[in-house]
Amino acid sequence: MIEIAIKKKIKTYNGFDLLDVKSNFASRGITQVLGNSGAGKTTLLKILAGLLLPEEGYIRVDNETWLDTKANICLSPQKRQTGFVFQDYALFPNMTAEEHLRYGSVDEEYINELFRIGRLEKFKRHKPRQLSGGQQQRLAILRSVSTKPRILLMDEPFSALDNDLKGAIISDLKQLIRRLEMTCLVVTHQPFREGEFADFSFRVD
Amino acid sequence: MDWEPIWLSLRLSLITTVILLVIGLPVAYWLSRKSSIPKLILEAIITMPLVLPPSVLGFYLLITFSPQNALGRWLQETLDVQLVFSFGGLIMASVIYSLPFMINPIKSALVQLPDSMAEASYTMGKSKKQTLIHILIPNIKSSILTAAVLTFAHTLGEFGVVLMIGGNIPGVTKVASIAIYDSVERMDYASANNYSLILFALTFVIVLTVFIVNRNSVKSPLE
Amino acid sequence: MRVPMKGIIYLVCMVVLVPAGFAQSQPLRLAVAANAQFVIKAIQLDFKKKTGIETEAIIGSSGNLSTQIKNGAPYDIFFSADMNFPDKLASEGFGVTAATEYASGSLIVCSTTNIDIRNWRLLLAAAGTKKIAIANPALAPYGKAAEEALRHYKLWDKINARLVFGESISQVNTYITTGAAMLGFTTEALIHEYPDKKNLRWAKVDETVYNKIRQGMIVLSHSKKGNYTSAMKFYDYILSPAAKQVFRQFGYK
Repeated sequence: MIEIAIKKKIKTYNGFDLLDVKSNFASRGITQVLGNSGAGKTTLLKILAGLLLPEEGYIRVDNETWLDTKANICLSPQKRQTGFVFQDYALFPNMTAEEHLRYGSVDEEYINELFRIGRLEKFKRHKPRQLSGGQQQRLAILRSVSTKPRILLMDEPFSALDNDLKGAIISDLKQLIRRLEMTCLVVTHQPFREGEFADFSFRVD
Repeated sequence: MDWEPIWLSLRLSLITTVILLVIGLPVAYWLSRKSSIPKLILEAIITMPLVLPPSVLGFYLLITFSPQNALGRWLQETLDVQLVFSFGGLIMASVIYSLPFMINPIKSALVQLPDSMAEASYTMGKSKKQTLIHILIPNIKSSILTAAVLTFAHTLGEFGVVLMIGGNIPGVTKVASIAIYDSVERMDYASANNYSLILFALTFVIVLTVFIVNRNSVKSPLE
Repeated sequence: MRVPMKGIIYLVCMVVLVPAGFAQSQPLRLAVAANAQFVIKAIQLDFKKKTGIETEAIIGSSGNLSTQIKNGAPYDIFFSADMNFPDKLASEGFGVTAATEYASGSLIVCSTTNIDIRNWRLLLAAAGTKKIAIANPALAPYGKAAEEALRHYKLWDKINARLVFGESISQVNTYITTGAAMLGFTTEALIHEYPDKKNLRWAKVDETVYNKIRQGMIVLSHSKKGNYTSAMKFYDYILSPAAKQVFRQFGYK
C-alpha cells in the first residue's frame, strides 16, 4: 500500500496553487488519477518518483519510508526505481529501441515479450527519430516496465496511440502489470471505461 | 623550411585539447546542474580568458611562476620543474587560456537537454555518473566535437600568452605563431608567409571538416 | 558520415608521442639584441667553422631579453645593445663573467622612400605628418641614442607626435622596409646585411651627437647547467681578432 500525505506549492501563471494530497493507494492495483489541467497530477507523480520534493509530507510504500520531510528522509529516484512514462516520452535519441530496453533489463526473453506487447518487433533497431509519435509512446511504456518496477507511474501514456492498436495494447499491458504484481498510477485527462484499465479512481483538485 | 614550430604548435594544441576534454566535461556537467552563487562565480572566472587580453594572463603567469618569486623558486628547488620558458608551462597556460572554449559549448548543450531525459534514466535506477556517460554525453556529441575543435584552433593561434611565458626558444616554445612574428622581425617574409599559409590551411581544413561531419545536426559554434 | 574514430586516435597518438626533436644536449643559446641579429649570423658561421660547435640565436630587444633572463629563460650568453642591461644582470647575480664590451654600435637614419636622406634633419623639421620610427628608448639602446641625437638637434619636441616606437630595432626595420615609416633610426649593420638593396637610402648619424653605443655581453649562470665550456669558448672567440673583423664588416667599431 502506498500512503502519501504531501503539500507542495505549484507555480501558476498568477501566483501559487497548493497541491495537497492525502491518500492511500492499494498495492497491486491500477489507479487512474484525474483532475483539471494544472491541478498537479504530473507533479504528484514526480513527487512519488522522487524527482520533485514537496515542502512537507511523507510517503510510505509497504511500510518502507520513502519520504519524511520532518525526519529528513528522502530516498533518491534511483533507490525508489519507479517505472515512469513521461508526458514528453523522454526517449534517448542516441539509443535504438532495443538498447532502450536493454538499459533496463538483461532478460532477453522478457525484452522480446515487451516488444510483442508493444507491437514493435519490427522496429527493434530503430532510433526514436525513426519512429512515429504513437510508436515512440509505446516504446516509452515498454521502457518504463523494463526494470520490472514495483510501482509504475504513467503520465498520459495512451494519448498518441493509434485507435486500432490501443485496445489490444492496453489489455496486454494490464495483464503484464497483474502478472508482475505492480502497483500502478496512471494520469489521464479522459477517464477509462469501466473495467477497461483502471481498478480505482482518484481525483486531484 | 623549419617544420619544428608547426609540430610544436600541433602538439601543444592536441595535448591542451585532450586535457581540457578530461577536465572540461565534469566541470561543464557540474555547472549545468542547478545554478547557485558559487557556480555563477566559477563560471565568470572560467569565462575571463575570453575577454582578457592575452598579455594580462601571460603577465600574471610569468610573475607567479618566475623562479625569482616564491612559488617558482619552490617548484624549481623541490620538484626541479620550471613552468616559465618551457613546453610544460605553455601547456598550463594554454589550458587556462582555452578553458572557456571547451566548457561553454558543452555546458550550453547539457542545459538544453530536456530534464526528463536524465530523470527517465534515474527512475531506471541509473546513477548520475551512469546517466552522464550513457545518456547525456552521447546526446551532445556534436557539441563536444565543436568544443574540441574550437579549443584546438584557438590554441593553434595563441600568441600573446605564449610570448610572455614561453619566450621564443627554438624547439621548445617557438610555436608557429611565434615563428611568424620572429620571421617578420628578421625580415624573412618568405618564412612568415609559409608558416602563415600552413596555419591558415590547417585551421580551415579542421573547421570545415567539423562542419561537414556535423551537417546533420547543424550546430554553429556561435550558438 | 561516420568519422573513423580509430584512424583519428592513431593520428593523435603519433603526433603526441613523436618527440618534438628534443636533442639530448641542448645547443648553445645566444640571446641577441635585435641590432646584432645580422652580424651574429656571420659570427655563428665563423665560430662553427673554427670549433664545430652549434649555436642558436634568439633575437629580441635588450630590455625584454634581460627580463626573460631574470625570470628563468634558458640562455647561455646575452649580447645586449648597451652595457647597462648586462651590468644589472651581473650585479643581480645572473652572470658568470662580468659585462664585457664586444663592439660599439653605429646609428644611421634609413628610408625606402624617395627622399634626399643626407638632408634628413631638414626633412624631419618640415615633413608634415609623415611617421618617423625609432626603437623604444627604454628597451633598446639604439632608441636611446636616437633620442639623444634628436634632442641634440632640437628636433625631439618638434617631431614627438610623429614618432612610432618599435619594441626593438627589428620592428623599426620592419617599419622602414615596408614604408610604414618615412624614415627610421636603426643600426648600420642592417645596411651591410643587404648591400644590394638599392632602394635603401641611408646616412650615418654624426657620432658626436649621441653617447657611444657600447654593446656588452655576459655569460649567464644558466650556462653552468651544461654548456659552460662551449659558452666560454664563444666568449673568448668574440674578443678575438677574427671576430672583431666580422664586426667591422658590419659597420661596428
